[in-house]
Amino acid sequence: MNEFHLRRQILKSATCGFGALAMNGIATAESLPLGMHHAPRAKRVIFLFMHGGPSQVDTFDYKPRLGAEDGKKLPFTPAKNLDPSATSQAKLMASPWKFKQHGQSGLWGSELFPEVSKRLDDICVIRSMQSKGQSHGQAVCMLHTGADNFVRPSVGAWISYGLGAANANLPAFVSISPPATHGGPRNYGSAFLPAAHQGTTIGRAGKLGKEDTFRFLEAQGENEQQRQKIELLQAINREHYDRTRYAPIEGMIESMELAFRMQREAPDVMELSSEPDSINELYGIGNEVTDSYGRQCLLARRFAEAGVRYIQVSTPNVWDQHSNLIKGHSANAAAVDRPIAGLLTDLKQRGLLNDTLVVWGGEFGRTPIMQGSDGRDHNPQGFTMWVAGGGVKGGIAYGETDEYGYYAIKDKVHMHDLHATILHLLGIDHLRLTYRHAGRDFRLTDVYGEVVTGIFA
Amino acid sequence: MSLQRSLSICLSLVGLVASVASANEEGIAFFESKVRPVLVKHCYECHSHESTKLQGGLALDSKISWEKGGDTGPALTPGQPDKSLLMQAVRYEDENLQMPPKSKLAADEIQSLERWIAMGAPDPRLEVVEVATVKRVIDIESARNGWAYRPIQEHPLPAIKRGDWVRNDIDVFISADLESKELMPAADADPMTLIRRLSYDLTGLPPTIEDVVAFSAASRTLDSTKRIDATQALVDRLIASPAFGEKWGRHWLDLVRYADSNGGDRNYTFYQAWRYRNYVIDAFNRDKSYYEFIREQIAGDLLSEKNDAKRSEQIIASTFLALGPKMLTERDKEKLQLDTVDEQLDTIGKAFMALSIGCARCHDHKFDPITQRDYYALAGILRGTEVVMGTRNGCVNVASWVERALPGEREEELNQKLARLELTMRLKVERDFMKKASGEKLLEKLPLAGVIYDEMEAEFIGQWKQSKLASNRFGDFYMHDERKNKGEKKAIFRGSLPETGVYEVRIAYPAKSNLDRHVPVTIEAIDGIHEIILDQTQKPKVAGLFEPVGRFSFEKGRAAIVTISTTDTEDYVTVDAVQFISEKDIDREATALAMASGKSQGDQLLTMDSSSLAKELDKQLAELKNADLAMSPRDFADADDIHLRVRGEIGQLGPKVPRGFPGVLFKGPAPMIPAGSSGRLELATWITNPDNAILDRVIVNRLWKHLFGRGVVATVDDFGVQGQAPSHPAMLDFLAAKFRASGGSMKTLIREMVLSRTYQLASEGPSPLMIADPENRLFGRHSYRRLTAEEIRDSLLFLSLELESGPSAVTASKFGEDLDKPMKLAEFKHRSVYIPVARNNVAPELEIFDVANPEMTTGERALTTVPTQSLFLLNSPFVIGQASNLAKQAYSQPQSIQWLHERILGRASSPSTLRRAAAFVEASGEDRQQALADLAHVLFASTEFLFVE
Repeated sequence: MNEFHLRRQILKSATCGFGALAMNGIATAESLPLGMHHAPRAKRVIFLFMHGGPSQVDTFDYKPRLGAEDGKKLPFTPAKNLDPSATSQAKLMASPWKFKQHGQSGLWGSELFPEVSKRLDDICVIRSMQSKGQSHGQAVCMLHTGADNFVRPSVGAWISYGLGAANANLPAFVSISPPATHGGPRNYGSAFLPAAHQGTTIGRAGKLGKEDTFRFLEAQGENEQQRQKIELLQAINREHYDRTRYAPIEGMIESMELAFRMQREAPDVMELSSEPDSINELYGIGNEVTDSYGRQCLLARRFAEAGVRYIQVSTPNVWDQHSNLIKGHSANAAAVDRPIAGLLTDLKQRGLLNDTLVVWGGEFGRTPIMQGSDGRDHNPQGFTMWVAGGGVKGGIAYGETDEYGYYAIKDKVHMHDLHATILHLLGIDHLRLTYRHAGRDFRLTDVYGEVVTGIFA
Repeated sequence: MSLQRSLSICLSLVGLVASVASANEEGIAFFESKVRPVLVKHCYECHSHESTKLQGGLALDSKISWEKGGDTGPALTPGQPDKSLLMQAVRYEDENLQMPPKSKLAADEIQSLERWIAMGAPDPRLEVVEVATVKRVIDIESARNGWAYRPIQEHPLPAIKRGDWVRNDIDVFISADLESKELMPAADADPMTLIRRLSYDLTGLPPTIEDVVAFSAASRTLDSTKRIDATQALVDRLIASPAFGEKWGRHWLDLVRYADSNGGDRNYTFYQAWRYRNYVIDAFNRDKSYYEFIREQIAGDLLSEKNDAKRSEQIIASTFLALGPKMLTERDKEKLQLDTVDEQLDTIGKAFMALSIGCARCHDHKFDPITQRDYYALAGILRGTEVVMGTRNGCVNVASWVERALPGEREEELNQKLARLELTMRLKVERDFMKKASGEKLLEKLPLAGVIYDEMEAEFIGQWKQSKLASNRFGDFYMHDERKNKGEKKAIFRGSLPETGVYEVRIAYPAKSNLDRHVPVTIEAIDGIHEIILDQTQKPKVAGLFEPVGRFSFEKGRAAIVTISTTDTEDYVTVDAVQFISEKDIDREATALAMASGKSQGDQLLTMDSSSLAKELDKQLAELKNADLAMSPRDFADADDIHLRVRGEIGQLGPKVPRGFPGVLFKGPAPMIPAGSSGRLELATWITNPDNAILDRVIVNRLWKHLFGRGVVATVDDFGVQGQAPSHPAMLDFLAAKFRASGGSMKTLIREMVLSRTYQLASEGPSPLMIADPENRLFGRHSYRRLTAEEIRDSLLFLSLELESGPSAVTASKFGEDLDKPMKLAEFKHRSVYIPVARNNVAPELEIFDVANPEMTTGERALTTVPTQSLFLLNSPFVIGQASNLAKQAYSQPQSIQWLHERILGRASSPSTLRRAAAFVEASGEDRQQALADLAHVLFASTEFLFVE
């Protein structure tokens, strides 16, 4: 395979029209400056997506007053467009879970997340998140693309477009078991950005099968046979190129080489069996409850190590507890708590946490209001997400919701602000990462977004 | 760019305000100690004349500024904190207006502002403020002269020197340009290259090897007339073949973001979308006039053709408007409507006119001469058009869409079924609403809720007492006046009705003998105020709960006000609820009530409970999914002008804008739109009228782009300032005029383009040309292109003789009620254009090779080169399977290696190539058929196959 030497980074795209200029700005290797506007604090992002919307008042936003006024009528006006049943006879509902302060920082965490709570000193809890979209479809798209109603490139696609791949043999943006609904591929899509920037997926809808891999990665036929085929193919193609000197033909030749290398390297990255027992233990792999998300998180770490820029790890769409909150949230938290804590620990022990930004959260939070007898409705008005590593302060809480945990009231962080902040940490100015499409310069944050500098280390 | 516009700098000098400050010293002191610090600390950053960008047009650093206010009007009303926008904003009452945006003010700060406004807002800041506001004013008059918008100009053919080189008018323009730059065009393409190019460009399929041989032979003649005749014959045959529409229809489907499922938040299957796809293919094959094509897509459902088949076509055409991706779970229904409108407008603008109209939703277009008023003038037309409605799964928060029966014997019957489906949707929603609004059993006797306002939604004047003493009440409570302070007390209900029309007004009260017999009720309807006297001792007639008090006309968008007062009453007056029920529902309701009491038969729907209705809804949707319906829109009965939305916010109403067309393209008074019509007919007529030259320029440019690899205007979807100017403006206008004169015949124009010498040139030119024009802007040679995703898949099936002709009987409905799961298409052997397009789930073999994103207008597909494509070519079972099929045929051929090359590459290969291939086959071991399959696989993956020269 030596003859297939890498001539140059080939994740290039023979774009037409507007794209061409912009594409030239892509960083081609680990060497930073191309595509960056300032020195980065993080080199990569792992986004842990809790699909369905976990409740802030049951996890990391402790509200004693909500506990004290359990069952009382609403002391505030609920948001518009809320389910009418929630408005007429709405009552407050205390959290069924106990909260404790943890670590040096004394940050609050509920008994739903015992393991993650132990890592709170490494975590910056953003308690004042706000987003757009009272329904999942809008809010999930808002979270992933910065738009609740229009087709826009996803965060990972923008990052891929801005920074390119750090490892030429792997994609820049990988989404592990991405949501199949609520926009589905739109949430890892490239929209009007060149298609090369869309997320490469593995697994689906929160599930990662043991045999899952990138599409068409699995070689058909014998190795030797395939090698001969590729040799013949490349000979034909090179002759074609020599005759025509047409650049996209050369692109295809290089792409074929890359594919062949990827076919060799990517399975190694995705091969989890080489990990020692201690690591499996750390992520909860092998334990029925945590096995699935544990493997997803471990895979995310391996991708992070291998140079993927943006890695998303999604749960199934399970967090939507309009009813059965106690059972549902207990099971959901149990499935991810240990894997996430394991991921944080593992990143830290490998020195990767310093330049890996870990982001945790759902498309919205849930109301402190009771729905039915044991449920909570959607709450984009105020909810919690947390970030860790990659240049942010650990052990702090940023922003506040009101005394009941319904509206964000202090240091509000809108989803647009979070996006601006993620880009900033990666060395990108969200105002300057633009793409000309249909007569206008688009950016991830539309006309919004403020970098939340208050969380920087 | 010749687009003219001017920046007019308005320097508004605000004069000295007469300093008769009425505020007393105490007020000023309060302002200085409590208010100014809050404003400076929390507001000035964005709302003062020092701000980098004045947000919302509002400054708070002088009295005159807040008096004038920002985009949404004066910031405060002195003396009335509750009516002041400022208070609304700082109290965080409205989700969309919260200031300061990041953190709410402290409670004492809010109180200070409130007190200050209550004091009359004494403000000493009367200083002269000099404001330089730069406001861009779009100069529509001069914009009209821009190359894209002005009327088609008459262009004589330019004079040329190389008269013997040209074959038709296109060549004259191209040659003149090359001559002026002293460049020679490329040589003619060789016949094998030309037939492959023509075949793919016109039909999307490769030529058969037999055709290649015959055409090459015919072209070898020295007689140039005969050569040209042979090419013409080939072109005519290809254009007449059904494959032409399958190829060119697909180009159109890219523009109109065609899909068989919604995408967005719920990927529901569009069971009927395929009809539109077939309509488009058929329109290209039958060379439907482009103007008729456009008219039908915008307003086909409103056209008055009598003939059933023709009428069907028109109705199906209007599916265009309904095809967009929608956020069906949007809870704010007006936002859902306006987002749908936006999507339609964006598509109409881009696809038909290469205008980014959508950019003017929130403000005047930043670059192009499209004002926000233009946007809402058009948006009004589409807002008057109903596309989304009802519920798809029984939940009020999951919308469905409009369908209608196609003309034919069953039309009437199907329309009745649809009406029943819509009734089911409505009943289901109302049932759920009633269940939620009140736990009372009584309500279940009301088959149709209409619009009900419970007492808690009324405004009460004077002291009223809440009670739940009587059980025959609506909801949890009712109110009574305690028989005190007669005349001072009243209750005002302000109804908001979904449609303009006649409604029966009903009043609920818990009838009892100690209630008053002469309760005055006033109703404000369109025609004025009506007074009625209500006897509250009599048991109400409807379900023992609601008493009808008459039928009145109300207007949508204007409050329907019902006031219950106590004037001249003596006994108790009670207020429980008010119901508005549309006249057309009353008969239905009577039937239902009779059914409920066992007195008559009727539609079971009327008495079904919520869960039965949910099942019924599923059943009806499933029954109708393969019926002869179209996903066609309809006009709202109360279609009307709409309000401009300030900054695009749904709730921020600006002035009402008369419906009309963009000022840069249309001069004249607003169109006369009959009452109750959307105005789409007028839009369709205007958009296709000869004065709207941009329509012709855009389509001519698109056809050119597909054949020459690059548009005369390179930015095919953007003819605005941000786009590129035409490289050959005279030719563009010349062809546009010809196109208009032909009545909009796309086949005629395509034929003319491919028969030009320019089209038939080789891809490699003489080196001066290659150096001077590497991007081929001058069209002095032909451009290479990669096969499209569809061409790759279709060719593989075609070559292995598996391709089935015509549309497949399999439509999206085979794959279930949503298209979220990957579709199993292994058995699908029809052309790719017939594969259902699942948004969120595009078939991988197509998606990998850059098919258009079905969520938005795509005039030019991206061309990417990514490893996934190579992995697909190497490892896809489909590619390998087709190679294997072809190898079976090759195996029985005497010269199988040569045969494979000719089949796949459409040409004879050089001896050295064949020798190398033979060596490969030899080296592959014993299984010769497998070796041939491997060879076929390699050839399928080769760039020679994947690119057209």
